[in-house]
Amino acid sequence: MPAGAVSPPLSGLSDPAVVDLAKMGSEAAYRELLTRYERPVFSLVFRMVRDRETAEDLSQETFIKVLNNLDRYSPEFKFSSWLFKIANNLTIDHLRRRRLDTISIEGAPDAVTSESARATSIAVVSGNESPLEELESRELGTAIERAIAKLRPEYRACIMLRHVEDKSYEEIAEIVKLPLGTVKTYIHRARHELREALGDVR
Amino acid sequence: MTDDFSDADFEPIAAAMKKLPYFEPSPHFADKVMARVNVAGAVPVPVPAVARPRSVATGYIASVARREYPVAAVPDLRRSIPARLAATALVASFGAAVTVALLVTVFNVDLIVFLTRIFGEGAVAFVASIAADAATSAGATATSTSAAIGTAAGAAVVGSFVAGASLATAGLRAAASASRKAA
Repeated sequence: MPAGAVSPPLSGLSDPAVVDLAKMGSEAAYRELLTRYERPVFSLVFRMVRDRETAEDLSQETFIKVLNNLDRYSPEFKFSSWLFKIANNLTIDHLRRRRLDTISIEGAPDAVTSESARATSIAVVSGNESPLEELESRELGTAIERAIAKLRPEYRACIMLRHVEDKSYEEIAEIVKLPLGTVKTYIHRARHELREALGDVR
Repeated sequence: MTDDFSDADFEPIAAAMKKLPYFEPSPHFADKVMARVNVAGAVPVPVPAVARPRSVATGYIASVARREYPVAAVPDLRRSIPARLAATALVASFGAAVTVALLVTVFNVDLIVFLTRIFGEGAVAFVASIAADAATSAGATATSTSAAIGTAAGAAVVGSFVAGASLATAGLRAAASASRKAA
Protein backbone atom coordinates (compact mmCIF):
# COMPACT_ATOMS: atom_id res chain seq x y z
CA MET A 1 0.00 0.00 0.00
CA PRO A 2 1.51 3.35 -0.95
CA ALA A 3 2.31 5.74 1.85
CA GLY A 4 0.09 8.45 0.45
CA ALA A 5 -3.00 6.32 0.75
CA VAL A 6 -3.08 6.72 4.52
CA SER A 7 -5.17 9.56 5.85
CA PRO A 8 -3.05 12.57 6.92
CA PRO A 9 -4.09 12.64 10.59
CA LEU A 10 -2.75 9.11 11.15
CA SER A 11 0.65 9.84 9.62
CA GLY A 12 1.17 12.63 12.14
CA LEU A 13 0.42 10.49 15.18
CA SER A 14 2.96 8.75 17.38
CA ASP A 15 3.29 4.98 17.31
CA PRO A 16 1.46 4.45 20.62
CA ALA A 17 -1.40 6.65 19.42
CA VAL A 18 -1.70 4.67 16.20
CA VAL A 19 -1.57 1.43 18.15
CA ASP A 20 -4.40 2.69 20.36
CA LEU A 21 -6.48 3.45 17.28
CA ALA A 22 -5.72 -0.01 15.92
CA LYS A 23 -6.83 -1.55 19.19
CA MET A 24 -10.10 0.33 18.78
CA GLY A 25 -10.65 -1.39 15.44
CA SER A 26 -9.29 1.11 12.93
CA GLU A 27 -8.04 -0.79 9.90
CA ALA A 28 -6.40 2.41 8.67
CA ALA A 29 -4.28 2.38 11.83
CA TYR A 30 -3.14 -1.15 11.08
CA ARG A 31 -2.15 -0.08 7.58
CA GLU A 32 -0.37 2.97 8.94
CA LEU A 33 1.80 0.75 11.13
CA LEU A 34 2.51 -1.41 8.09
CA THR A 35 3.40 1.61 6.00
CA ARG A 36 5.77 2.91 8.63
CA TYR A 37 7.66 -0.29 9.23
CA GLU A 38 7.32 -2.64 6.25
CA ARG A 39 10.54 -1.37 4.67
CA PRO A 40 12.70 -1.24 7.83
CA VAL A 41 11.54 -4.69 8.90
CA PHE A 42 11.89 -6.20 5.44
CA SER A 43 15.34 -4.64 5.03
CA LEU A 44 16.55 -5.90 8.39
CA VAL A 45 15.29 -9.39 7.68
CA PHE A 46 16.59 -9.39 4.10
CA ARG A 47 20.06 -8.34 5.21
CA MET A 48 19.97 -11.20 7.68
CA VAL A 49 18.76 -13.99 5.40
CA ARG A 50 19.91 -12.64 1.99
CA ASP A 51 16.93 -14.26 0.26
CA ARG A 52 14.00 -12.23 -1.01
CA GLU A 53 11.25 -14.82 -0.69
CA THR A 54 12.41 -15.89 2.74
CA ALA A 55 12.67 -12.27 3.86
CA GLU A 56 9.19 -11.59 2.57
CA ASP A 57 7.77 -14.61 4.37
CA LEU A 58 9.52 -13.78 7.63
CA SER A 59 8.47 -10.13 7.42
CA GLN A 60 4.87 -11.10 6.80
CA GLU A 61 5.01 -13.50 9.70
CA THR A 62 6.42 -10.74 11.87
CA PHE A 63 3.66 -8.28 11.07
CA ILE A 64 0.92 -10.87 11.36
CA LYS A 65 2.22 -11.87 14.77
CA VAL A 66 2.55 -8.28 15.96
CA LEU A 67 -0.71 -6.95 14.56
CA ASN A 68 -2.69 -9.91 15.87
CA ASN A 69 -1.26 -9.36 19.34
CA LEU A 70 -1.49 -5.61 19.74
CA ASP A 71 -3.26 -6.14 23.06
CA ARG A 72 0.02 -7.46 24.46
CA TYR A 73 1.94 -4.36 23.44
CA SER A 74 3.15 -2.40 26.44
CA PRO A 75 3.43 1.34 25.70
CA GLU A 76 6.43 1.66 28.02
CA PHE A 77 8.53 0.12 25.25
CA LYS A 78 9.00 1.50 21.77
CA PHE A 79 6.68 -0.11 19.26
CA SER A 80 9.54 -0.34 16.79
CA SER A 81 11.68 -2.17 19.34
CA TRP A 82 8.91 -4.68 19.92
CA LEU A 83 8.47 -5.11 16.18
CA PHE A 84 12.20 -5.58 15.54
CA LYS A 85 12.39 -7.99 18.44
CA ILE A 86 9.75 -10.24 16.88
CA ALA A 87 11.43 -9.94 13.48
CA ASN A 88 14.85 -10.75 14.91
CA ASN A 89 13.54 -13.75 16.85
CA LEU A 90 11.85 -15.20 13.78
CA THR A 91 14.91 -14.56 11.63
CA ILE A 92 17.39 -16.04 14.07
CA ASP A 93 15.16 -19.08 14.49
CA HIS A 94 15.05 -19.44 10.72
CA LEU A 95 18.81 -19.11 10.35
CA ARG A 96 19.36 -21.69 13.03
CA ARG A 97 17.16 -24.11 11.13
CA ARG A 98 18.67 -23.45 7.76
CA ARG A 99 21.94 -22.00 6.67
CA LEU A 100 21.50 -19.94 3.53
CA ASP A 101 23.88 -19.01 0.76
CA THR A 102 24.29 -15.31 0.29
CA ILE A 103 23.36 -13.43 -2.87
CA SER A 104 24.42 -10.00 -3.94
CA ILE A 105 21.97 -7.14 -4.27
CA GLU A 106 23.32 -6.94 -7.82
CA GLY A 107 21.68 -10.27 -8.53
CA ALA A 108 22.23 -13.94 -7.85
CA PRO A 109 25.83 -15.17 -8.23
CA ASP A 110 24.76 -17.71 -10.83
CA ALA A 111 23.02 -15.10 -13.01
CA VAL A 112 24.82 -15.22 -16.37
CA THR A 113 22.77 -12.71 -18.37
CA SER A 114 21.74 -9.15 -17.61
CA GLU A 115 18.08 -10.19 -17.69
CA SER A 116 18.59 -12.89 -15.11
CA ALA A 117 20.65 -10.50 -13.00
CA ARG A 118 17.84 -7.93 -13.11
CA ALA A 119 15.27 -10.61 -12.31
CA THR A 120 17.11 -11.62 -9.17
CA SER A 121 18.07 -8.14 -8.06
CA ILE A 122 16.44 -6.28 -5.20
CA ALA A 123 14.57 -3.02 -5.62
CA VAL A 124 15.97 -0.35 -3.35
CA VAL A 125 14.52 2.95 -2.32
CA SER A 126 16.91 5.56 -3.72
CA GLY A 127 17.55 8.92 -2.13
CA ASN A 128 18.03 12.29 -3.78
CA GLU A 129 21.65 11.99 -4.86
CA SER A 130 23.52 13.06 -7.95
CA PRO A 131 24.47 10.31 -10.40
CA LEU A 132 28.12 10.40 -9.23
CA GLU A 133 27.21 10.43 -5.58
CA GLU A 134 24.74 7.68 -6.21
CA LEU A 135 27.41 5.63 -7.97
CA GLU A 136 29.91 6.14 -5.16
CA SER A 137 27.30 5.56 -2.54
CA ARG A 138 26.12 2.49 -4.38
CA GLU A 139 29.67 1.17 -4.61
CA LEU A 140 30.32 1.71 -0.91
CA GLY A 141 26.86 0.53 -0.05
CA THR A 142 27.32 -2.65 -2.03
CA ALA A 143 30.66 -3.25 -0.33
CA ILE A 144 29.08 -2.69 3.07
CA GLU A 145 26.23 -5.04 2.19
CA ARG A 146 28.74 -7.70 1.20
CA ALA A 147 30.76 -7.14 4.36
CA ILE A 148 27.64 -7.26 6.52
CA ALA A 149 26.57 -10.48 4.81
CA LYS A 150 29.81 -12.11 5.96
CA LEU A 151 29.23 -11.28 9.61
CA ARG A 152 27.79 -13.76 12.06
CA PRO A 153 23.99 -13.35 12.22
CA GLU A 154 24.18 -12.14 15.82
CA TYR A 155 26.72 -9.46 14.86
CA ARG A 156 24.67 -8.59 11.79
CA ALA A 157 21.51 -7.91 13.77
CA CYS A 158 23.32 -5.80 16.36
CA ILE A 159 25.36 -3.68 13.93
CA MET A 160 22.35 -2.98 11.70
CA LEU A 161 20.11 -2.07 14.60
CA ARG A 162 22.84 0.25 15.84
CA HIS A 163 23.88 1.98 12.63
CA VAL A 164 20.95 1.49 10.23
CA GLU A 165 18.04 1.78 12.65
CA ASP A 166 19.92 4.05 15.10
CA LYS A 167 18.87 2.05 18.16
CA SER A 168 20.56 2.53 21.52
CA TYR A 169 22.56 -0.26 23.11
CA GLU A 170 19.82 -0.76 25.67
CA GLU A 171 17.17 -1.06 22.99
CA ILE A 172 19.33 -3.51 21.04
CA ALA A 173 19.85 -5.62 24.16
CA GLU A 174 16.09 -5.71 24.62
CA ILE A 175 15.47 -6.58 20.97
CA VAL A 176 18.02 -9.39 20.69
CA LYS A 177 17.46 -10.62 24.26
CA LEU A 178 21.14 -10.43 25.17
CA PRO A 179 22.98 -8.78 28.06
CA LEU A 180 24.07 -5.21 27.45
CA GLY A 181 27.76 -6.17 27.70
CA THR A 182 27.31 -8.89 25.11
CA VAL A 183 25.65 -6.43 22.74
CA LYS A 184 28.54 -3.97 23.11
CA THR A 185 31.01 -6.75 22.48
CA TYR A 186 29.14 -7.93 19.38
CA ILE A 187 29.00 -4.41 17.95
CA HIS A 188 32.69 -3.86 18.70
CA ARG A 189 33.64 -7.08 16.89
CA ALA A 190 31.28 -6.33 14.01
CA ARG A 191 32.87 -2.94 13.52
CA HIS A 192 36.31 -4.47 13.61
CA GLU A 193 35.34 -7.03 10.95
CA LEU A 194 33.67 -4.39 8.79
CA ARG A 195 36.78 -2.21 8.96
CA GLU A 196 38.89 -5.13 7.93
CA ALA A 197 36.57 -6.03 5.06
CA LEU A 198 36.17 -2.46 3.79
CA GLY A 199 39.77 -1.35 4.14
CA ASP A 200 40.37 -1.10 0.39
CA VAL A 201 37.02 0.45 -0.48
CA ARG A 202 37.26 3.43 1.82
CA MET B 1 26.97 9.11 16.27
CA THR B 2 29.55 8.61 18.96
CA ASP B 3 29.75 5.89 21.58
CA ASP B 4 32.20 4.01 23.74
CA PHE B 5 33.35 1.79 20.90
CA SER B 6 33.46 4.21 18.00
CA ASP B 7 36.68 5.42 16.59
CA ALA B 8 37.70 7.65 13.76
CA ASP B 9 38.28 4.76 11.36
CA PHE B 10 34.70 3.59 11.66
CA GLU B 11 32.98 6.96 11.29
CA PRO B 12 32.87 6.85 7.46
CA ILE B 13 31.43 3.34 7.57
CA ALA B 14 28.86 4.36 10.16
CA ALA B 15 27.86 7.31 8.00
CA ALA B 16 27.58 5.06 4.94
CA MET B 17 25.51 2.55 6.89
CA LYS B 18 23.08 5.29 7.83
CA LYS B 19 22.59 5.95 4.14
CA LEU B 20 22.02 2.33 3.26
CA PRO B 21 18.73 2.16 1.38
CA TYR B 22 15.72 0.30 2.56
CA PHE B 23 14.66 -2.63 0.46
CA GLU B 24 11.19 -2.63 -0.96
CA PRO B 25 8.95 -5.63 -0.27
CA SER B 26 6.55 -6.87 -2.92
CA PRO B 27 3.78 -4.44 -3.99
CA HIS B 28 1.01 -6.37 -2.24
CA PHE B 29 2.92 -7.00 0.96
CA ALA B 30 0.53 -4.99 3.15
CA ASP B 31 -2.54 -6.58 1.59
CA LYS B 32 -1.13 -10.05 2.17
CA VAL B 33 -0.50 -9.20 5.80
CA MET B 34 -3.89 -7.58 6.34
CA ALA B 35 -5.59 -10.63 4.85
CA ARG B 36 -4.30 -12.60 7.82
CA VAL B 37 -4.79 -10.01 10.54
CA ASN B 38 -7.85 -10.00 12.76
CA VAL B 39 -8.70 -6.35 13.09
CA ALA B 40 -9.70 -5.63 16.66
CA GLY B 41 -13.28 -4.52 17.08
CA ALA B 42 -14.40 -5.96 13.78
CA VAL B 43 -18.11 -6.64 13.48
CA PRO B 44 -18.69 -9.89 15.30
CA VAL B 45 -20.63 -12.75 13.78
CA PRO B 46 -24.25 -12.39 14.91
CA VAL B 47 -25.32 -15.01 17.39
CA PRO B 48 -28.94 -16.19 17.42
CA ALA B 49 -30.84 -15.01 20.47
CA VAL B 50 -32.02 -18.50 21.34
CA ALA B 51 -29.40 -21.15 20.92
CA ARG B 52 -30.71 -24.38 19.50
CA PRO B 53 -29.57 -27.62 21.07
CA ARG B 54 -26.88 -29.27 18.97
CA SER B 55 -27.40 -32.84 17.92
CA VAL B 56 -23.67 -33.52 17.53
CA ALA B 57 -21.16 -32.78 20.26
CA THR B 58 -18.36 -30.59 18.91
CA GLY B 59 -16.71 -29.48 22.12
CA TYR B 60 -18.82 -26.34 22.19
CA ILE B 61 -21.35 -26.05 24.99
CA ALA B 62 -24.12 -23.59 24.24
CA SER B 63 -25.86 -21.90 27.10
CA VAL B 64 -29.43 -23.13 26.87
CA ALA B 65 -32.13 -22.13 29.34
CA ARG B 66 -33.12 -24.96 31.59
CA ARG B 67 -36.61 -26.25 30.99
CA GLU B 68 -39.00 -26.61 33.93
CA TYR B 69 -40.86 -29.89 33.70
CA PRO B 70 -44.20 -30.33 35.55
CA VAL B 71 -43.80 -32.54 38.56
CA ALA B 72 -46.41 -35.32 38.75
CA ALA B 73 -47.53 -36.77 42.06
CA VAL B 74 -45.76 -40.07 42.41
CA PRO B 75 -46.97 -42.50 45.10
CA ASP B 76 -44.37 -43.22 47.69
CA LEU B 77 -43.90 -46.95 47.56
CA ARG B 78 -41.50 -47.00 50.44
CA ARG B 79 -42.91 -48.20 53.75
CA SER B 80 -42.30 -46.72 57.13
CA ILE B 81 -40.14 -48.61 59.62
CA PRO B 82 -43.05 -49.67 61.87
CA ALA B 83 -44.95 -50.89 58.86
CA ARG B 84 -41.88 -52.83 57.70
CA LEU B 85 -41.48 -54.37 61.16
CA ALA B 86 -45.15 -55.31 61.30
CA ALA B 87 -45.01 -56.82 57.82
CA THR B 88 -41.86 -58.73 58.69
CA ALA B 89 -43.42 -60.05 61.91
CA LEU B 90 -46.57 -61.04 60.04
CA VAL B 91 -44.62 -62.86 57.35
CA ALA B 92 -42.42 -64.56 59.94
CA SER B 93 -45.42 -65.63 61.98
CA PHE B 94 -47.21 -66.92 58.91
CA GLY B 95 -44.09 -68.75 57.80
CA ALA B 96 -43.60 -70.31 61.22
CA ALA B 97 -47.21 -71.37 61.39
CA VAL B 98 -47.08 -72.94 57.95
CA THR B 99 -43.84 -74.70 58.83
CA VAL B 100 -45.30 -76.09 62.03
CA ALA B 101 -48.44 -77.17 60.23
CA LEU B 102 -46.38 -78.93 57.59
CA LEU B 103 -44.25 -80.69 60.17
CA VAL B 104 -47.27 -81.86 62.06
CA THR B 105 -49.50 -82.85 59.17
CA VAL B 106 -47.06 -84.11 56.56
CA PHE B 107 -44.25 -85.57 58.61
CA ASN B 108 -46.41 -86.40 61.62
CA VAL B 109 -43.92 -84.83 63.99
CA ASP B 110 -44.66 -84.70 67.65
CA LEU B 111 -44.56 -80.99 68.19
CA ILE B 112 -43.85 -81.21 71.88
CA VAL B 113 -40.90 -83.54 71.32
CA PHE B 114 -39.61 -81.36 68.53
CA LEU B 115 -39.75 -78.17 70.57
CA THR B 116 -38.30 -79.94 73.56
CA ARG B 117 -35.25 -80.86 71.54
CA ILE B 118 -34.87 -77.30 70.44
CA PHE B 119 -35.60 -75.26 73.52
CA GLY B 120 -35.27 -77.79 76.37
CA GLU B 121 -37.85 -79.49 78.52
CA GLY B 122 -38.22 -76.76 81.15
CA ALA B 123 -38.99 -74.01 78.68
CA VAL B 124 -41.42 -76.13 76.74
CA ALA B 125 -43.23 -77.25 79.88
CA PHE B 126 -43.49 -73.63 80.98
CA VAL B 127 -44.81 -72.46 77.60
CA ALA B 128 -47.15 -75.46 77.42
CA SER B 129 -48.63 -74.72 80.80
CA ILE B 130 -49.15 -71.09 79.89
CA ALA B 131 -50.69 -72.06 76.58
CA ALA B 132 -52.96 -74.57 78.29
CA ASP B 133 -54.08 -71.98 80.80
CA ALA B 134 -54.64 -69.43 78.06
CA ALA B 135 -56.56 -71.91 75.95
CA THR B 136 -58.69 -72.95 78.85
CA SER B 137 -59.34 -69.35 79.80
CA ALA B 138 -59.98 -68.24 76.23
CA GLY B 139 -62.18 -71.22 75.56
CA ALA B 140 -64.24 -70.58 78.64
CA THR B 141 -64.45 -66.89 77.83
CA ALA B 142 -65.33 -67.53 74.22
CA THR B 143 -67.90 -70.08 75.19
CA SER B 144 -69.49 -67.86 77.76
CA THR B 145 -69.29 -64.84 75.46
CA SER B 146 -70.74 -66.65 72.47
CA ALA B 147 -73.40 -68.01 74.64
CA ALA B 148 -74.07 -64.54 75.87
CA ILE B 149 -73.97 -62.57 72.63
CA GLY B 150 -74.60 -65.19 69.98
CA THR B 151 -72.80 -66.12 66.74
CA ALA B 152 -73.53 -62.91 64.86
CA ALA B 153 -72.09 -60.81 67.60
CA GLY B 154 -68.98 -63.01 67.67
CA ALA B 155 -68.47 -62.43 63.99
CA ALA B 156 -68.83 -58.73 64.62
CA VAL B 157 -66.17 -58.86 67.29
CA VAL B 158 -63.78 -60.63 64.95
CA GLY B 159 -64.58 -58.17 62.18
CA SER B 160 -64.03 -55.21 64.44
CA PHE B 161 -60.71 -56.70 65.48
CA VAL B 162 -59.62 -56.99 61.85
CA ALA B 163 -60.88 -53.49 61.08
CA GLY B 164 -59.06 -52.11 64.08
CA ALA B 165 -55.87 -53.81 63.04
CA SER B 166 -56.21 -52.38 59.53
CA LEU B 167 -56.90 -48.91 60.83
CA ALA B 168 -53.95 -49.12 63.17
CA THR B 169 -51.65 -50.12 60.30
CA ALA B 170 -52.96 -47.31 58.10
CA GLY B 171 -52.50 -44.85 60.96
CA LEU B 172 -48.94 -45.94 61.50
CA ARG B 173 -48.14 -45.53 57.78
CA ALA B 174 -49.74 -42.10 57.67
CA ALA B 175 -47.76 -40.98 60.71
CA ALA B 176 -44.52 -42.28 59.22
CA SER B 177 -45.19 -40.56 55.89
CA ALA B 178 -45.97 -37.28 57.63
CA SER B 179 -42.76 -37.45 59.65
CA ARG B 180 -40.71 -38.01 56.46
CA LYS B 181 -42.31 -35.05 54.72
CA ALA B 182 -41.70 -32.87 57.76
CA ALA B 183 -38.03 -33.90 57.70
